[in-house]
Amino acid sequence: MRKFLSIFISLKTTVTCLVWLAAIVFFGTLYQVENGLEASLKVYFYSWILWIKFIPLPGGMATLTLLTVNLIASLLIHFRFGWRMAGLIVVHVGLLLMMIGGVITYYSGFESYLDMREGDVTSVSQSFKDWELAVAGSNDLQRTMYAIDTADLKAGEVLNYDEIGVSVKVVKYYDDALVRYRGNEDVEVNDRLVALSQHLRAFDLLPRALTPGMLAARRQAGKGQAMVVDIIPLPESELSEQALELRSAILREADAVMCENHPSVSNLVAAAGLTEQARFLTGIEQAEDAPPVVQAIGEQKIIVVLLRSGEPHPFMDEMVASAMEDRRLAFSSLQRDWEKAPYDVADFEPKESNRVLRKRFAAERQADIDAALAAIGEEPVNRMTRALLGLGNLVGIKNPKFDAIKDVENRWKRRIKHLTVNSAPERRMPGLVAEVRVDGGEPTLLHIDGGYGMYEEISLDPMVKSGDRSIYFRLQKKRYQLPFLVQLDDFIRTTHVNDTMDKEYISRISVQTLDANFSQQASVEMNKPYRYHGFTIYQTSFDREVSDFSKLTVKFNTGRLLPYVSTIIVFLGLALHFILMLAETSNRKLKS
Amino acid sequence: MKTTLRFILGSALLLLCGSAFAAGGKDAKQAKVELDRFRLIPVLEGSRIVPLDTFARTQMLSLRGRPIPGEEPVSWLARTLFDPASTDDDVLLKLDHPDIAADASITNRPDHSRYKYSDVVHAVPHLVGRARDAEEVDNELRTEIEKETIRFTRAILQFEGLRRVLLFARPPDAPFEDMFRVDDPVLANKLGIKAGDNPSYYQLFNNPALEQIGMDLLARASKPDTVLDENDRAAMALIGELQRFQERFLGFRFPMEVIPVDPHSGSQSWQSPPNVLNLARSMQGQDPELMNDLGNWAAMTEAYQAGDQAAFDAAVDQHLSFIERRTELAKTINGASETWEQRATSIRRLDLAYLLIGSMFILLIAFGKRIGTWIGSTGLLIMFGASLLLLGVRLYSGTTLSVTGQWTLGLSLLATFAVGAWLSFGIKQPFWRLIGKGIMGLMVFTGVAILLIAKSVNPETGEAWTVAGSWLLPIESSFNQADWFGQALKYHLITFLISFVAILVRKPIIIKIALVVAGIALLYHVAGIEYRMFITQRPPVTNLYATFPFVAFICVLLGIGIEGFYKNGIGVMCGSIVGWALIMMSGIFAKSDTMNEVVPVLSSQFWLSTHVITIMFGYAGVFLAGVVGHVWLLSRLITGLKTGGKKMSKGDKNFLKVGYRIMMSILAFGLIFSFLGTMLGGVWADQSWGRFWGWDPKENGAILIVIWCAIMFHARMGNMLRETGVSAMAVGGCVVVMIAWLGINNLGVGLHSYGFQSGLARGLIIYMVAEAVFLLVTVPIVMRMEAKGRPKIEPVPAPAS
Repeated sequence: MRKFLSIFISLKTTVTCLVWLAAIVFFGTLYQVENGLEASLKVYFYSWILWIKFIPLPGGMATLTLLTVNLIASLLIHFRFGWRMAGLIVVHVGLLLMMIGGVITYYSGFESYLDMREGDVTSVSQSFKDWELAVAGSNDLQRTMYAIDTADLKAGEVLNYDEIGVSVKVVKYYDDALVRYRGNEDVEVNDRLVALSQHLRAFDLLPRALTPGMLAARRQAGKGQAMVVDIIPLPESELSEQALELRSAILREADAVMCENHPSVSNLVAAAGLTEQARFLTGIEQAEDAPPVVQAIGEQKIIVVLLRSGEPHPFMDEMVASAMEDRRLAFSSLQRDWEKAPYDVADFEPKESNRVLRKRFAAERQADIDAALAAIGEEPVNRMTRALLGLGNLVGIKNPKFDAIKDVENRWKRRIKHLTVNSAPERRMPGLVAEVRVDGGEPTLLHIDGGYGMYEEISLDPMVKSGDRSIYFRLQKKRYQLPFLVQLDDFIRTTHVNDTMDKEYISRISVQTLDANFSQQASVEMNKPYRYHGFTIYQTSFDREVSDFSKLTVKFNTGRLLPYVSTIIVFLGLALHFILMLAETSNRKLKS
Repeated sequence: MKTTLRFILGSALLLLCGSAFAAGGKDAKQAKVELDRFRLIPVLEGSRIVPLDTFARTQMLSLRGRPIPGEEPVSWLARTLFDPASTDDDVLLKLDHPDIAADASITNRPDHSRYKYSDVVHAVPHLVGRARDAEEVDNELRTEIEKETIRFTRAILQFEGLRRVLLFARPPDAPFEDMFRVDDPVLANKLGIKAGDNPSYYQLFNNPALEQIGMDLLARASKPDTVLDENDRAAMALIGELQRFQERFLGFRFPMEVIPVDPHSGSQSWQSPPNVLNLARSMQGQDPELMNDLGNWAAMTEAYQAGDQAAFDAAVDQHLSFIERRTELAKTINGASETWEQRATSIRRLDLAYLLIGSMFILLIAFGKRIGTWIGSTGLLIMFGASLLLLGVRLYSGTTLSVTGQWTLGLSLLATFAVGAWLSFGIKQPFWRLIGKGIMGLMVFTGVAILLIAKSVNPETGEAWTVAGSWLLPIESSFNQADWFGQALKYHLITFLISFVAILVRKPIIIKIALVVAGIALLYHVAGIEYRMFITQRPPVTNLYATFPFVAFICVLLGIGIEGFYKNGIGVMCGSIVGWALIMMSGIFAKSDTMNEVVPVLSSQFWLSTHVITIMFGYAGVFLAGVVGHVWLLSRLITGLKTGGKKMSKGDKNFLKVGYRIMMSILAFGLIFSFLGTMLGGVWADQSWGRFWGWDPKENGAILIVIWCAIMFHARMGNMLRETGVSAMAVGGCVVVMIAWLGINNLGVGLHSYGFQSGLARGLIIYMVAEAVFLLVTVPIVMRMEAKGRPKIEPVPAPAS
């Protein structure tokens, strides 16, 4: 027992742990280059067990914990108090404090963002990478949504939304999935969806996260946004049930149409020989954007025109000409992409890690390599030779075989890119297949994609009907309710001469607590965050196309000051020890 | 008497060093005229207004990698602008992949790396096609060949752009040489030129007679019964050619934005002459000054081709006075009326005086008696104190501090001063007294400097004190001409050689000479760093390039400091070799250094001068300790071989002992600053991104150094390592520092990526392998030697149970 305990105290343990930690840091960073930060955190830095093939090794967390235990034990047992040790004791106490700070941050904080345009007000921020499944009893503007986190969701798990009598049994859940759409099994559709969303964004035609607060603020600021929907009237018989419902909602709520931001759209309306009434919106075939659209029309009187026509659109050119001449190409490809991307999710195809994909396609790739080698008249090479060739290339020995192989490797890298799990977690799009029961009734199978969280504008909330109730489901980025309202008053981006480089970004914000007891104006810049009761707001991003858009990060961390304090303590300890040692040496030298 | 003799000896030695490198370059091509005024012309580059010689240097580096030996970049630029044909055969365009040359049917040159324009000109369309294809691919998925194709093609197009900047001002080059030839004697006469002449576009465009002819033609053509004669056809053809020229040669965005079109507008305030020509055409005489200035460029071209120095300078002066009228660059501090050229000259004189007086002070410190040393060191302190003060004002003028900040700063200065006072008066050892006095002096200086900086605002406007462009451009130009780091490089090498000899023969006088040369190297080195700071108005390190000269500086300084303490040659030798090696390395990154503005996230004077500087101190400490580790292992090996396992001499033993001690103290220094720098980095990250630690590759590199040092100290403490082990670890520390410095992520050895990507990664890996080989060869032998020398301890037999 004693012997076992002494392991924790021994200096050998310290050194071993440190060596192992160095290895983890080094290889973890290399791993990160290939697989992204998220993966390396999971596998190396925040893991208890580090699996190398099937061998379990201590992970970053385990090593740090052991080091901390070792540190505490040494502080209690090894360290003798006195001048010689004073510096070292201070150093190690500081390190202990730093570890504590790390633990607090790891377990207590959260990180989220606000996408805002000037005039927007909100008290709800979104997570960068975590998702939740939200359920609502209606698609009204003022509805209540109930949400449960989807982190680590396993097949067979049941999520109960007791408040509205819904239970969701998970059949499959993917962190990052390709969506197969009904009638279009093309797996690359996902890529086109991304492109589409970018085009739409480029046209400034998208309603962004339309929280009630933002809508109110926008109305006050007299700002509108338009979304382009089909204006070809379709007969009612061809409309889906959902579309009819949406249409009636629009007709009910929109009594007039205003297009404040986009005169081009009103020109278009005039050109179509239509009056500026909601009537011309009859042709919404599919209710892709039901909630935002309804909100927009109802609350804001925003025109909604969706180009879904397969034919060259009669008003297309005029629209493009008057709106944004220089983006003609982008717009026509938008139309193409839209055609290829029906929204109806048929199934998901899981994305895989690079490693798995390499294994899956190993044989095909090998065949390609052999073929490429055969093309330059070379025999196939084995792994060992390939490694040697790589080594040769490293020291500058050129070899046509190496070039041929590298070429194939590169082509394969491109080929499997869309199947690979996105290394940036904020760009992943999850998919959920679930059996849904409403009020304990019959289960309905639903496919819910993360489209809302990714591209809110082109996603539709799947719906289940039970009796006269409609229940809407949405996989969305996790929301956080902040204890205050943030309003973006102004966003300023300045540049150096000739617009060669950005100089600074400044977001002027107003913060007000929900009970209105406290309010403050502040400016958030790079290196100059705004802090309020453990919350910190940082300037994070901007949009080159939309000049009044600013992305702010909101963080919450109670242990924020600990690293500061411990840094000072450790530094003072190190300096003290260094000076004391130097004094000893110099005195010895002077004596001799 | 003896002192004087030494002084003379030392001076002679210095002169020798200086003259050793005074030899000139090879016979390179040179511009036809002197460019002393031309080089000062302001031009927009990146996001700064720089003198033309900076622009020339950056262009040259991006095309060629390093300047043409024996020719100044600005001379090359003048040839490219005014006489492009003379640059056809310059070995200029760097290409890293011979395959690209083969593909574009460019004849391979013997060195496979740089090509003449005349070699590649036929391949441009092919290359452009290839580059377009390559650009279709996402950047991260491009192969090296694709990346290099894009870069190479862009470089060629950039060079072509430069050649055509002043095309409007000279008769077109082949194959368009006959474009504007006027053979018709009547028309020529009307235009005021000789028949058969080749006028330039500008000559015709700016010719009122041609305008008149055009108007007449137009008027006559509108009448139905007009018959056009020979003459009219020739005129129409000429006007058509002008049109063709405009379409072909003026429609692009050209490099070299030298003309302030509208200094107060945002995006297009500075433009290149051909673009201005286009603009002036569309503005139809609204801004006659613009047209006049184009005339200045045409005059420069003409004077250059005629080799007429006076006319050339006159045209440059005209352009400069246009700049002065139009921008605030020429605003003077005190209304002085010297020309920019005169200012450049006086700055160069000041530089010379700095070097001479600095060297005198150093000689005085080294060879003088008590008073001489005192004068020398005080002189140096005053000199550097003054320059630091000037830099402080330039960097921090206008910075405001909150009340809390002011109190914190004031109190911490006072506290540190108190510590210094306690050391100098409360402690008996002379070493600590000296340190204490140093601290006190430093604090007084800092306090005064802060007060002065705080006062350094314009009392009327409350604006920060800035240096007007009328000084900045000459300053930058003389910085370009001086090549401070190149000189420092030479002197570091000489220092190394002298100190190496000193260690071999163990003669203190030679060490002293090495120290003097090291001091002079530092004069150059410091000047280079301070010039950069002054120009960029930033703390010394803002990009990867700048890290190298700065860390080199810290290493040399540490080396000299250690030398002052231990006096056995190790410090100065290691310091100077590191100084030399790091400045050599900086050449790799010089290409990317334009002293440009920093991106917004880095734009913080405070963090650039705290976090970045401390990290650099950390790198310097750990790296220098590693170099001492090399020296220790090698000396142990050599002494071991010399004695053949027998007892070492007392001198050798002492040398090794002191070497080890030096290594440990620099390591400790390195650890402290690495730790502090890493943590300050965390604090900065918390300020700008909201997280203290995020396992980012750069952070991981930094913490790796700290862990490495921690391993070393703990293992030493637990007797798991002895001197040899610690030295080997220190050598490993060099590798760790390099990995952290250049970035683990740049290694390019992802677990699955096949082969190594960039040249930098290749260099790094070769370096790592070399160090590994060094350790594998030396350590086992040294360990055996050590084991022999150590008294054997018989294992105690375990008691029988």
